[in-house]
Amino acid sequence: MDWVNAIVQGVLLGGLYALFAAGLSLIFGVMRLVNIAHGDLIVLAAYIALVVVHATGLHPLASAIIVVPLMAAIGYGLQRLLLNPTIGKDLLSPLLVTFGISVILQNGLLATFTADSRRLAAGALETASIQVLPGLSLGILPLFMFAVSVLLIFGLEWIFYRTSLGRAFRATSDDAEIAQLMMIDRRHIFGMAMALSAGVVAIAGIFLAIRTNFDPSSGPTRLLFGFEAVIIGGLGNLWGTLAGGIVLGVAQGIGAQISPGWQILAGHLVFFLVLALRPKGLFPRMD
Amino acid sequence: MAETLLAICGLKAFYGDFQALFGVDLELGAGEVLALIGANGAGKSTLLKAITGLVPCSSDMVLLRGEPIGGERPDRIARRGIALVPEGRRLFRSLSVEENLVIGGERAKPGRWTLDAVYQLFPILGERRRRPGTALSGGQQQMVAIGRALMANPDIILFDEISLGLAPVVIKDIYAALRPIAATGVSIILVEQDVSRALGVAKTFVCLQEGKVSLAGRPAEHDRAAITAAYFGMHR
Repeated sequence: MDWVNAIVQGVLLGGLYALFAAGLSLIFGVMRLVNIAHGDLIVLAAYIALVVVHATGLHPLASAIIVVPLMAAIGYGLQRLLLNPTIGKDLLSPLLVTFGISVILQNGLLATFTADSRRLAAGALETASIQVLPGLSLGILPLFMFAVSVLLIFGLEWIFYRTSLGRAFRATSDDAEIAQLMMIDRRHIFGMAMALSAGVVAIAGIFLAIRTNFDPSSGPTRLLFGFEAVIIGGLGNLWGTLAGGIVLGVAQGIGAQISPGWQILAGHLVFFLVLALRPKGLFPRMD
Repeated sequence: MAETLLAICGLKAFYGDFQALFGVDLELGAGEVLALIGANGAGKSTLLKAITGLVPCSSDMVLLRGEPIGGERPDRIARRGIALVPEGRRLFRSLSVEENLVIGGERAKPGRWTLDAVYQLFPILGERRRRPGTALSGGQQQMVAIGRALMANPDIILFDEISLGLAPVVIKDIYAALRPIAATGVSIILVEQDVSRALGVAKTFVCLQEGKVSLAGRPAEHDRAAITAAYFGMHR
């Protein structure tokens, strides 16, 4: 039953990883931008949630009402002010800008909040669980996070394939030059993509803050997990990204069951195997 | 001549250091069809790109109803009522036929061209509305590209090489569709390598040669030899 438990917990953790990855996947899909600052934006959202919870006394999950729109606005601003001027010339300049944003965020958070690790307390919800089988209990909170992750990915898919904004995203991704002739302001569309990504990042940040300790240098590891989930699942496929997150989570769960030292390593090994055997990921988009 | 809708005045355009257009002048009247002819590399596509804002130029080199619009952002120029049917169709490959049409019109002012009107003009597109745009034949893709431009209900449509790479029978169908489009009163610039076909539908023409206007006027005013000479840059 220990092994079943490890796998189930891994699946639930995978939902969070998919959430880390979804925003990354969206940004790459729309503007071919690899956002190195993605992990640090998750940590920024976690700190903003921390401040909001301390200032207002809201439950951490309820802080999303403030953190999500705030992060979306930050994302839109970053895109319009810093990233848009560099996009389209070559792939390297925007990449370097996001690297710069990453460094600034880490050091800014360090200066403001010190290097102490923090955590958001979710109260009684943290220990609540339901027993599904004898010897197998599921935490309410991880279940809730998993359900939210799936819903968010469903929502992103819906926006991408069923709305005018999503059509503009796909058209811009297909042929940015001709998309402009459809009266699409590329700068605004890129801003909206980053805002959407940052909104998802806000949820991911809150979940991260409730689930584990975090400090200003936690970002790059989240970025790595996000990247791995995207690559395992196959670029440009959000359901693949969810599957990629789950594969990564399960690998880590099984690794941890073997030995605590194997938790992270097992995830990286599976990523490496997928990259070696199926470089396009498990669920590549049909093109 | 009808009231001038679009005027190109001394247009110079560059790709980096390379100058593609050397002071081109052109006038398009309201409701007029103008054929823009010339050999490969004469600057026809560059001229269309300058009009649509895809290639930079000074503001007073392109006048729409007397207002300078040269060098504006492409999405702004599109909003002013200029649509392009680009060379090579360039449909959005991750969009269905219907989505390709919808995206052409959803930010534009409403008008006579709706999804139904486009499907009436090209019934085959209605039958294939759910297919990916790029899964159609070349001629059908060209119909989608034309429909996408019509959906914006533009005042001016620029057609760039609409017959390139299509079978003669398909070209005939595409040209047959041009007549009802022109009959709606929209102004058209038709870039075409097939000179006699273009001159057959155009009221006026401009011939470019190495980035300059080598001949312009009404097709009937010039004999075939003069047009051929202007096309190839032969001096008589």
